[in-house]
Amino acid sequence: MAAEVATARDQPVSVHRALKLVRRNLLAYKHFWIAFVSGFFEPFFYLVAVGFGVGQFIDDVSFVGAQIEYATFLAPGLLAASTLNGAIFDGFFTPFFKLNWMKTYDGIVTTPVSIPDIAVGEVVWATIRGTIYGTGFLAVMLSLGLIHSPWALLGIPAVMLSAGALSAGAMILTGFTKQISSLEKVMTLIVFPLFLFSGTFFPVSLYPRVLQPVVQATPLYHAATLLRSLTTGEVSPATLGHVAYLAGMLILAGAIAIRLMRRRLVS
Amino acid sequence: MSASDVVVRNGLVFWRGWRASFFLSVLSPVMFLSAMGLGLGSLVDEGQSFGGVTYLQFFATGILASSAMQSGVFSATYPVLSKIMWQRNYEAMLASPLSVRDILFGELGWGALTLTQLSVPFFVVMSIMGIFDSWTAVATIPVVILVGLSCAAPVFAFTATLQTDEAYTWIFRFIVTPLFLLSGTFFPIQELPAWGQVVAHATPLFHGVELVRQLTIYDIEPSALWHLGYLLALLGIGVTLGLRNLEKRLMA
Repeated sequence: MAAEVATARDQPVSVHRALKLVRRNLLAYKHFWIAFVSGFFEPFFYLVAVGFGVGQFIDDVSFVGAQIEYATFLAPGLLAASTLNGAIFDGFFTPFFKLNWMKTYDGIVTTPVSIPDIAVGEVVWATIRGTIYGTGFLAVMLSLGLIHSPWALLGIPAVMLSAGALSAGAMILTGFTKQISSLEKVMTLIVFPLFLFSGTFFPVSLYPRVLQPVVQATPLYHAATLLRSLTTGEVSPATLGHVAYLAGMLILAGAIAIRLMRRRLVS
Repeated sequence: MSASDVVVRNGLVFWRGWRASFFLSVLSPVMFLSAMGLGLGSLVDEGQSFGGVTYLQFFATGILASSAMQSGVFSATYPVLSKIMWQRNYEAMLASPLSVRDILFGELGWGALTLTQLSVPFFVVMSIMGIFDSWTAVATIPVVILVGLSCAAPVFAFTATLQTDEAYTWIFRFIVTPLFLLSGTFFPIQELPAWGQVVAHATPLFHGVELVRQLTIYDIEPSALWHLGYLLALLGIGVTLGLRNLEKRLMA
């Protein structure tokens, strides 16, 4: 019996079994629909306050050579930032509690669902949620006149890619953390600086020259710039570079997350 | 035995995680100030729109007040509900010579200490950045504590009536976040539509922000008394309701 469990949990990922975990999350989430619906509003409030409120005092901003209105600049940045928040919630907060407190995964690995299935299932779940939010926010942008190109249609797969890459990154954090105090540390030392300093609120060109490459190395910078290129129509070969960064991160971070989760669940 | 014992108890629990927590609580406002005040602010065409001060000054003083609101509201949500029904610390306290009144005033006293701990370093950072124009700025620390407590007390009264924590999602998303963004912290409320200005005038954060700005970057005007009165009245109402509700909850 023990041997069977050991082989089951080490199985490589199967789409069918990973989707079982997605279904489990959906069932568990039914009770928290308020939290789900209210998640739409956070980026919207920021858009109103900063994009339109503060934006009235801001001249056009330059973005890859074009001059665009501040709200047009900010909105795709907030879209990317809300994808990050969703990824942290679904890829780190919830898995953190399942792993360390509720021991949900300890139960799951005794079934035919393997450890890679768990990691992939959580990332798929986070991606689905992120895509729903992102699509909603793109619709809000459209209704507010902040979308200036049909390229924005590709914004939906771009949000999917960003959500996948960021939540795979968030799963790495899950693999590293055990203490409840880590949540606050991760928020203050990783999530909050990314949110503020990834070219979301103001262009990278405003940073001192030495800091610009640092900003350009962050995943949120690539997600924000990719989405901004699509919604403004300023698409160039460099846009593919952002896609490649995020796709690479998804694969690499996913592989690391599976290894870390295995270390945590088999000991 | 009195309210001060509740303060001491919370202090002992807090002490263990203090150093890390203190560092983090200072770091977030500093990052926020640099990003918004300096980064975003460098894009803002200041003119006379912000009453003759820079956007950094305008924004930083707004954030000082609003971080007190957020901290105050938070302190009256999960931690209090936990002590009422999850960990049931209050039940244990009532088995000692402590009264319901001691518990409420103890929690507010502790709230005042955490608000001091939050606002003093923030205040020092702002002084170093040269944000304050006037020596009356020192009076902002008690004002900021008042803002936090005025926001905390009514929420405490509300928490005492709750059976689950579901309502907090609503409070944070639909009350705290909009207040934080739209009460004149990020931009002057004159930019809001007329109805929005009326709503803003009714919120405690607006009064807190105005009061802080009059003490730090603008001239003090007679309206300061009205803002102060509003916050004190809200605190009074919150405490009265809080005592009543907590009594009902714990003595039932």
